[in-house]
Amino acid sequence: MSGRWARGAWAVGAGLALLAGLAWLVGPSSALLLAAGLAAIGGVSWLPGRAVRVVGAALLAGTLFACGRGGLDAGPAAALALGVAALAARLLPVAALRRLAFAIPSLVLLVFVTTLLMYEAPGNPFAQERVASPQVEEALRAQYGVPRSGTAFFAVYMKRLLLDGSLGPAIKVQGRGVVDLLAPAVPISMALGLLALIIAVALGLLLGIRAGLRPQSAADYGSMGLAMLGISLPNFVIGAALMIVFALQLGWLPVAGWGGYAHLWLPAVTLALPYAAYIARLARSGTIEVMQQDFIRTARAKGLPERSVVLKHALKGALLPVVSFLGPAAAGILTGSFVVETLFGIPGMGQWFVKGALNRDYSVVLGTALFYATLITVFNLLVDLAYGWLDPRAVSEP
Amino acid sequence: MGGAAGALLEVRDLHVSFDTEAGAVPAVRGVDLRVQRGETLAVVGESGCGKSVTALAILRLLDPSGRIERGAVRFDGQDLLGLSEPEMRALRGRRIGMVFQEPMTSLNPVFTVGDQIGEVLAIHRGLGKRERRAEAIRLLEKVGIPAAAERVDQYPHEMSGGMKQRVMIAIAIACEPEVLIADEPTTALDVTVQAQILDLLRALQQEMRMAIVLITHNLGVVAQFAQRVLVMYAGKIVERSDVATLFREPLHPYTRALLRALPSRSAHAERLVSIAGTVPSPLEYPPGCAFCARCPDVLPRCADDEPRLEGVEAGHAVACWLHAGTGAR
Ligand SMILES: Nc1ncnc2c1ncn2[C@@H]1O[C@H](COP(=O)(O)OP(=O)(O)OP(=O)(O)O)[C@@H](O)[C@H]1O
Ligand SMILES: [Mg+2]
Repeated sequence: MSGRWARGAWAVGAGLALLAGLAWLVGPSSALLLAAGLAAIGGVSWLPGRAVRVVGAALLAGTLFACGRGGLDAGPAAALALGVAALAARLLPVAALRRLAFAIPSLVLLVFVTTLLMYEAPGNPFAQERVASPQVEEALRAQYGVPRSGTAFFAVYMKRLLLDGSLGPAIKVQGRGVVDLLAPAVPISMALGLLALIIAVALGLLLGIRAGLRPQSAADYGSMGLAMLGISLPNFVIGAALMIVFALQLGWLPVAGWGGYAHLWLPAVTLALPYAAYIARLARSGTIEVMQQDFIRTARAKGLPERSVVLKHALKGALLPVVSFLGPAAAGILTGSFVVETLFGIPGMGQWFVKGALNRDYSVVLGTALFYATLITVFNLLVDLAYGWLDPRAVSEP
Repeated sequence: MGGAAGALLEVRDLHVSFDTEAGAVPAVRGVDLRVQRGETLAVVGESGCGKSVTALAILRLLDPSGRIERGAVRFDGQDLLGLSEPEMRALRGRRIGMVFQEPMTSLNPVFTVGDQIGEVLAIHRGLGKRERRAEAIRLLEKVGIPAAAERVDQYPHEMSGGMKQRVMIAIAIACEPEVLIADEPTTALDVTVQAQILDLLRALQQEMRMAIVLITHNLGVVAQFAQRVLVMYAGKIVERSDVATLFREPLHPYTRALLRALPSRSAHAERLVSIAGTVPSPLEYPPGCAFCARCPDVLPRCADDEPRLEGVEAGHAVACWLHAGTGAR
């Protein structure tokens, strides 16, 4: 009666159910492809170190080539990609290469799944076109590279991405590429996301650590009450409330629309508050736990002032749960920005994503999704590095 | 016993209790102790009798729920309980060092041992970064850690338990304290390492002429190490004596039971002492002698009447009705 078998059976059962669900949703052949992709990515954890070096470097070379092709000819791009990848295979630790071996195929899988889902959604980029004669539609499909089946589109998209480093033409915006379209929006969205993340972390840590140092005090109940509010109120309520108070009543900040970076404050706070609340709770429990450790008593027995006991000996430990949450928090803040950008009329990536989805502009949707996914992947990598620095016990592969 | 005026560290009538959901836990109920310069005082007793709480109360490091309800702590003529927090901090780690029971968890896992030794050197001796490192290496060598120049940059998880306890000792002696409080410094370690750590403490004591308060539940350690002994039971001192007298002529039935439970073969010397019956919970100490329920020689009055610690001969005192009024006082 070992629990391992029961768990194994569970996993197999769940896997089969997932596969059946997928087959029903996207058709059996795509479902099988998807399952194979997932299995391959999962298999990376079992690859031996040597293989990880080869696979990771090869994937890195492919990615670098695609990126390089955005501005270079095939020859120099290939040289650059191979050179950097060879160096990476030599120098990077296996753990980092293993991450790459996970992350890059995951991004490809993301493109695949997004494509399938977009094709499942009713309508297509050419459905609303006034002149909808079949011949014209075929010509348009050929021109923009949008075949009738999802898997075929995926093939066209990936080929274009890998060989030309291009995100393709925007289907609904005449004569412009997805890259040209998104480029001006990127810094705005990045600034918004970064500002929101900074506000969330700073506010959350401040409230959480204060509360954790004196559990059951007034400061504790106060900040945790605030945190409950922050977590339970939806974005648009917080946003509207902030607009009313700070823009309409006090007139300190612009209401909405775009006219410079001062316009980012309200949306950033709106985005940040729920995450600040969550981080506050994590920081509080982290602080409470670390303050009960024996080494805190040692620090006091050395004669350290309480300030150093907290800021030096307790802080790193209290940060650990917060840092593990930063990956999901960043993902949440970025996706949350779709709603908030729309709410505040900020011309960022979120607007293109929403427009793209409404117009069934497949290339625009994939471009934004890929951009956000890459950003989140890179961010998670940084979080991992930070984690290793905070906790030297976190074992790393050589 | 030496005159009270000469005592380096003196605790008088210490009462400590903890606020808990079940009520106030009286962990220490009237402890007196005196340590002269350079001597070793052992404090012995079963788990839970209040040894650690006494030690932490001396340094004022009790948990927030713990309260010193009564008593006095004097160190070199100063009343420690009356000092401000900054004055107290200036003593901790500089004039009074402490080594804790749990070497595995007493070092911060996220800093190198060099950093953790260096901290004391920075606050109490004002050393700069480079000097701290050199001094940390010297201290590591002093506590017998081989390849100290490499070890100094390691994290605690890269070291064994005995090694960590050596690092703890290095931290505690970094400023050559006048008193070292060692709270069961070897309990968590295995037998061979225990002996090494005790040897180290003895060597350091001789070199620096510091007093040691050695907390232990092992009378075998006491015999090798200390000059005087306090036997604690249920938050009180039940017998106080010099070591030779205690082993020759233990008076309190609890002390006798401890001695009987001590295996004579040294191979098992560190086995936990076990005596029939259980220690009463601090929440239900009886009005009389706390040992009466386990005592083989119990008298009718023991359950209701509490015996006081009384001298029976010079330097030997016991709190037991069997011996009440027998001494010269
Ligand atoms: N923080 C605390 N809160 C509540 N009770 C406590 C606390 N610390 C200690 N006590 C109680 O005080 C009593 C004495 O504890 P202490 O740690 O001094 O025992 P000890 O003699 O050091 O035992 P050991 O040999 O296990 O270390 C115990 O009954 C314990 O339950
Ligand atoms: Mg103890």
